[in-house]
Amino acid sequence: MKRLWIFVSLAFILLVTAWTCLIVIAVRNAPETVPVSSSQKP
Amino acid sequence: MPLPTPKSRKPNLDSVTTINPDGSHFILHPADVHGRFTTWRRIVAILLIVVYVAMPWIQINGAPAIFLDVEMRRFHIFGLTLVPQDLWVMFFAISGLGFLLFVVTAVLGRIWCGWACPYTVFLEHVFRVVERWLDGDAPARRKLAAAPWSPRKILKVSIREGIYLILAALIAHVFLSYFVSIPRLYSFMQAGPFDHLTAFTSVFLLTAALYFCFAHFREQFCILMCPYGRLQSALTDDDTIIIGYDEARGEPRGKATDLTAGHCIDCMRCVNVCPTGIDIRNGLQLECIGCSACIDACDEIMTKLDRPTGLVRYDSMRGLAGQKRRILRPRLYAYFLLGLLGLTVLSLTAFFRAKPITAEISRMRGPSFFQDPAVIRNHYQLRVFNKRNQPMNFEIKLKDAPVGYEITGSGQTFVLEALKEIARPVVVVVPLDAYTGPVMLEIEIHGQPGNATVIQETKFLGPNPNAIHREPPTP
Repeated sequence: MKRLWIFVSLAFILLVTAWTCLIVIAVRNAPETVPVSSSQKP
Repeated sequence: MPLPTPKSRKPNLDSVTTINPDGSHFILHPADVHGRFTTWRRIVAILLIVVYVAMPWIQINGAPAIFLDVEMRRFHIFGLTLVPQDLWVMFFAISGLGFLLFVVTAVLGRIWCGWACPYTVFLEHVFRVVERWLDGDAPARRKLAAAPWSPRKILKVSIREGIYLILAALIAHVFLSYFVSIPRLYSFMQAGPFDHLTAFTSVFLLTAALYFCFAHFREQFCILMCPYGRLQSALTDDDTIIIGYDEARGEPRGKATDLTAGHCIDCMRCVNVCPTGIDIRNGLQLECIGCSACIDACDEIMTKLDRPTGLVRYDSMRGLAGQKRRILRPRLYAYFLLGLLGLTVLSLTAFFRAKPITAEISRMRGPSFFQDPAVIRNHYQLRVFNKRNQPMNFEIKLKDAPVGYEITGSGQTFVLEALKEIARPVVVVVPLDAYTGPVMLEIEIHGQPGNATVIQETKFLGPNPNAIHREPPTP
């Protein structure tokens, strides 16, 4: 049972790392921000 | 000065078709489409709706297949009962399912959005069906929307919106039944709204949100709000199967009679059937939910023109560019292994931890042991929790204990009512003759029905055995 908990803890750390990496990559690759132009006229 | 709302909008890559220049919603009226993908999507949608409605009715181990009992804080998932202490396993469940969804997305793009997302399923296969049935095809709906308000229009719109409200309320009630179960939902419905104000408010707000989304907000949710849609650009690559237009074959566009032109006759059918108003010929766009309506629309035209189908088709960017297709790639292995890891931990913990009972042995406060003239006693406290919806018979015994050790008293068997917790003393004794020093004991708690066993380890404490056998205590 102790080995099981070591495995569970390692899996937790690995998955949290994976989620963190994915979120960081997604944030860094976010589409460019296009400023809304207030001078746009019909 | 507000900008005029255009009567029609031509899709382009610089703006969202369904948002007018002044920021207001441009209401789309997608045309009817028929074809093999549309048929299969309808079949899949009906199956998913049946599953959604049926889940709270199916009983497994005395509870609905999915019953998130927030009030009692028990979460029944396909026969497995979780209590709040077990909910950390949900991290692994969500990670496992999430990464497996990423595998599917990396291979098949937005197949989830187009085929299985509840939002698409209800919008395309329930609400738009009602709209088509009541208001007619796309030109008829456009005409009705543009017509001035008249008694006939008021009547038609009222009936349509009324049916939308009823459908939204039905979906919301089924949703609530996942949290309160069908019998309690029925009793809530029979009672007044103020008897169960929280449940009533939840259903009221959910009905309002569903009505707003499905009747009016529609594709805007997928384009503007859905986080999964936003993640697509990070999850897909040039090898992901998307819906794409074969530019090499289709361009230059021209009339069907023009033999020098490509296969696309610029009939705009693919644009007219698109529920998010994009032109798939402009390439992969974030608005595309992968619904495959444009594939069926184009195939229909190609068949009529006696040209090969598949001008718009499921293919990868590489495949559309005429390059070699590739399915297995590093990101796929990474997502798959992470998904597998999450599900493995979930399965292991579900097997080892999430049993229909929880039982814990702890030492009673006070002296570590009691020594009588004939025996040594250790007092423990046992807490047992029956997570099931039926009474259980419990038996407590020592597992593989050394000779002489036994549990005394009448508390070795007892019945525990459904969803009840009990704390009771457990006394373990050993005759002085058999005592050879502190020893680890395994106490087995066995529950029936369900054949659930929990084994708790504890230490049996006592005096120094040499001291006992040299000087036996006098009474």
